[in-house]
Amino acid sequence: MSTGHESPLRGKLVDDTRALSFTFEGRPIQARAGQTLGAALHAAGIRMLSRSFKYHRPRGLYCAAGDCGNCLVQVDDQPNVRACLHAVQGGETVSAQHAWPALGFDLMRVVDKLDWLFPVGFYYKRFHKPRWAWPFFERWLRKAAGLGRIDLDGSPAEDTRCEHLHAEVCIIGAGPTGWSAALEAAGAGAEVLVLESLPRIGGHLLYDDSARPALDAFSTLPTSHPRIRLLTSATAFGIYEGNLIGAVQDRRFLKIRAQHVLVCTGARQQPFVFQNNDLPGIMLGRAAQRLLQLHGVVPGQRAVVLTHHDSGRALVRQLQAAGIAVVALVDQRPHADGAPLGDARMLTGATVTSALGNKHLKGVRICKLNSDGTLDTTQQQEIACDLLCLVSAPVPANELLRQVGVRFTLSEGGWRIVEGVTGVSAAGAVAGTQDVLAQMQEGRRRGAEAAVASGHSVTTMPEVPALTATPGAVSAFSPALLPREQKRFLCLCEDVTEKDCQQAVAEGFDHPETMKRYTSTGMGVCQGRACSEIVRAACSQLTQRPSGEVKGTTSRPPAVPVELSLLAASSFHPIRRTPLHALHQNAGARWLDAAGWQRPESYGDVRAEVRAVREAVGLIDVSTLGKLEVFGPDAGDFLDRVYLNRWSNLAIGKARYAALCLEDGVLFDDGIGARLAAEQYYLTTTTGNAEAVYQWLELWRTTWKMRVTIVNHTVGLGAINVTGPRARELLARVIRWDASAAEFPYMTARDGEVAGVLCRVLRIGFVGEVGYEIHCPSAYAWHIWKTLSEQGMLMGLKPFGVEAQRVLRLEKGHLIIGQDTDALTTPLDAGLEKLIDFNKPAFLGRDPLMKLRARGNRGRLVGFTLEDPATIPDEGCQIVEQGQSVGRVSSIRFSPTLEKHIGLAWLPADRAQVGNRFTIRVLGADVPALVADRPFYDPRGDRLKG
Amino acid sequence: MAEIAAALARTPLATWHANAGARLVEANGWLVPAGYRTVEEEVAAMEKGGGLVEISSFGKILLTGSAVPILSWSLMGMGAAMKPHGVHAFAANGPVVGCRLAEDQLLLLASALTTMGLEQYLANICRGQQVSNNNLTTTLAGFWLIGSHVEATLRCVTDISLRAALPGPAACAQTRVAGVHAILIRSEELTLPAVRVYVGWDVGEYVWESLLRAGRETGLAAVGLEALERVRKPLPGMPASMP
Repeated sequence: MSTGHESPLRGKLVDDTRALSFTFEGRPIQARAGQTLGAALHAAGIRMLSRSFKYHRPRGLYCAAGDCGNCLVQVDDQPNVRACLHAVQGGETVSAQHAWPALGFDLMRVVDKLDWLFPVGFYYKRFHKPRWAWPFFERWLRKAAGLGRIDLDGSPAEDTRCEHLHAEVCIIGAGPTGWSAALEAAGAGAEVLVLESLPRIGGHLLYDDSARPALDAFSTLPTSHPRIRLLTSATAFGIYEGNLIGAVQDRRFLKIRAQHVLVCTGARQQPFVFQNNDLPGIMLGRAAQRLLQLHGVVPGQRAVVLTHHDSGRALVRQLQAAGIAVVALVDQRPHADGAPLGDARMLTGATVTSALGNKHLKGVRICKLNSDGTLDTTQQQEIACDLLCLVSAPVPANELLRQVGVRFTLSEGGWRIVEGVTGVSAAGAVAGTQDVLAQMQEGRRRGAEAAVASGHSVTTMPEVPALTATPGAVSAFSPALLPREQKRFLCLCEDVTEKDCQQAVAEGFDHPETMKRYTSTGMGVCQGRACSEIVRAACSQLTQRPSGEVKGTTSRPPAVPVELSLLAASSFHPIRRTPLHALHQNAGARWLDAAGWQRPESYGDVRAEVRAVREAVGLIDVSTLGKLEVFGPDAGDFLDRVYLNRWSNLAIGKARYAALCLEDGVLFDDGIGARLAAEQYYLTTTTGNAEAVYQWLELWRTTWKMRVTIVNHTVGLGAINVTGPRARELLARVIRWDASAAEFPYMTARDGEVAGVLCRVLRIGFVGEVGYEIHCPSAYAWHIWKTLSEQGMLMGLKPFGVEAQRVLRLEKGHLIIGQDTDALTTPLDAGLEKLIDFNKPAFLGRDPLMKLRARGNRGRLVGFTLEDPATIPDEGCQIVEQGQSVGRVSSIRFSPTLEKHIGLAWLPADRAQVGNRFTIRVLGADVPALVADRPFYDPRGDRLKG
Repeated sequence: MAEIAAALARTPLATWHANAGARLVEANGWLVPAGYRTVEEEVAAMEKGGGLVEISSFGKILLTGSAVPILSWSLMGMGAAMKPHGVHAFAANGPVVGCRLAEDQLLLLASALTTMGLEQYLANICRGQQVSNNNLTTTLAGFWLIGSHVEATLRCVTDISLRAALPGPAACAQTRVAGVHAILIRSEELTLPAVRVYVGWDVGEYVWESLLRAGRETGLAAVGLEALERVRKPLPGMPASMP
């Protein structure tokens, strides 16, 4: 069935041979390949596509270029899709959003009638009294606000990707200016990247056939060049520091680095302000051209054109050529060319004061203008029409340039750049040049300059085109002189009217920046592209300040809406896996993220894992620990200076607890260190601080210029801890050397073969049982783990995870740096005073620790048990005394071995004596606890050292 | 001591290869992926869409110290690796690629599954020199990214300009790939365009999967070592294919 909207012209972006279909609000819609949803819906006679943000007014295609928020629809599960940009793929389920119960009958439209209740900034003024009412209204307002609904149950988009591109010259826009510039720059030898938001080069020449000489000139240009990379359907949304350009193309997020950026984004038309200026059927002149020329869709049957610019006449001709009846050309200029244009009536010195209709345009009211620009209300008439095209003087599409600091001014001759930025330039309409041939000439010049700036040379620099006066570069805003029966919108996205701006000015928000914050103009989908100039002009007139004195708002990226899933595509989340990862996975590990590593938290039964370690033997993957080798003639002295205890006197083959501080005496990290040879030490660090400790040692090595080499083996070596009363028995099955307590006692280290692999074995213990930490090349960790698992199968061996390890170490009373310490904890607070060798002449943190020691301890880390296990505090719970916080719980677990809850807590030093009672605040309740002696388990260390 | 199976070294991707259906074979004590399909199919895949080959098992030795410049000259003469970021292929008891990561850092990459020959060679060369010799074989995971879409794939995971960072046919650079530190090396060892990527052993699987994801659009596929040998160029005085 014909809807009367098919164009006799063929759309330049449309493939007539491919028919597609989709549904809109359940209704099947036919489209042709290349058409946008908006064009296809318009062709199907559907004018109303959405409801407005605040007043739920009907809205339809307005800019057809993605510059406004009038056509937002839901496409499948994706909200806020701009129908004018989304090319039909076929099969989409498209629905309206922000309307209830239906797009055509939206009960929320009542807000439009109750607008007195919702003035600008109403959320600061209304619904606050009585006070109890606000939470209710706040919930209701939050529900009513916002556009579209996100499917929270759906899986996140994973089809997006980020790509990094580099070019000597990046040109944004492949219209006549941009393409001329690209050819010139490439001809000079530069590698050029061109971003074009349309699927083809040509810019506005694709749909505006009024500039015939320019069209002819453009058609002679080559359409490709070996040094030009053209990305079509690619939209730049930001220029960041260092000429980093953010752009999107299909499902790709492009990060482009260019030595020089040339912006050729052209200009765009602005809305006119009159009553009901948002009705479906009112659209920018270029929107009508785009529908006709790009998509082959007739924008309306009976048109009126409102203009204050010469291009209005050109549009009339174009519409007439497409078979559209143009009933009137309304030109605000009193002395405009009044020569007849076919059947169109020429109304000069007049303007549209009101659009008529409810759900779509049915006519316009036109009023004669007096010579001073005021309305002559005695001369009014109404004209029936279903299309009103707004043709304003073009305003530079300069938001990208303004982001980087380029400044513009509006003078008599039009828009001009008054302050540039190094590395970024502009040409064409965006720089204020209006004549298309002059734009192409300027493009060539700027392209050549960009090539030169990138290190290339040109034989002849193209001439700069002469400046041409811009006819009719005046504001499309004129203050209302008629009673305001209907709304006059300045910002369509946010439903901000002229009255709202007047109110804002009356309340003191009399600058576009403050007005924006108060009224939210320019905060919608268009980000000011459609409304910023009209709001600036309105602000100028409402405050009666000269236009040149009123600056526009600051432009910030993103200039166009960008899907979060596209931005997320640029971030990486590295996952560090130990060499035993797959074995843990097969054993049913539950994973824990630890400093980027995936570690087994447990294998399902923590208590069984603890019992296995206490009663038989357990295996834990400790490959994530930092592993550093320090060697060289000064190695011992170097470690003496960095660590708290003395290393130069450590016997070869012996190991020690190793703790180190920052310069301010705050505990930094701990681990185990062993002396392997006279000038060779091997140190472990905590998982989280492995890289930081390595960097710390490197910093002081270079600062002190010591003859030391530090090698980071953290990822090169896997590490497995085998521990428990039967650990020695198990180890004996896989080694050929003597691991007896006499030959390989507690706190010693040696190199030796384990399961046929040369390893470094440390006889140490963190969990309070006999333990051996086997460090081996990462490639062999799998073999050693498997061998130990097989050999220990009949011994009751179990792998255990981080959670069981935490329980076991707590039973033994060991602290964990980062969990039981914070950014203020000193080794004195943590009870490590005996470790510190204050007799050393110097070590990092010595002076502050000396002072703190003299001053006495502030707090103490103590062990505790609960007196009443009915309520179990969480880690971090406060310890209170007379209602004041005096400490906190840093660790607490149930001990399967001791069959009670045990923990570590920070208490003031004078309350840290064993047997003292204290109170833990848990969700308002007080839980009594008792300071206990630690370690809780095997206090003499017989099992550990045995 | 109990009866214990001989130790077999595993790359960080050994399980990944097995899950992906690779033919895993034992070579010089390593478990390595020989291939996923026939060699001919994999070579064709590399030529068409690109291939990703894990070479973590190949030997890597880092020489660090003030004597690196003179050692570079001893090892490679006045080759490209005399300057930082230069790369030069040479023979040292087997084919070796020398990558001058910095003024005082030379990374030597063996094109075989053992560093024994290279270590013996270095033992003689480095004796008495101010240089630290660190075997990074199980510290760095390594991949060959092969095919005409190498740059397009890397563009998705690194923000450096490959043309600037790896100029010419042989060069090396250190950068971030998929958010982790990486060494990129371009050399003329293969008949197809290719870049070696080295990252930490712990993030090997993560980067491998990131590269495959980045190359999905261009048809990048995992390829085995047998196909890699088919596209290897002969070094002067060395056989094209290693045993």
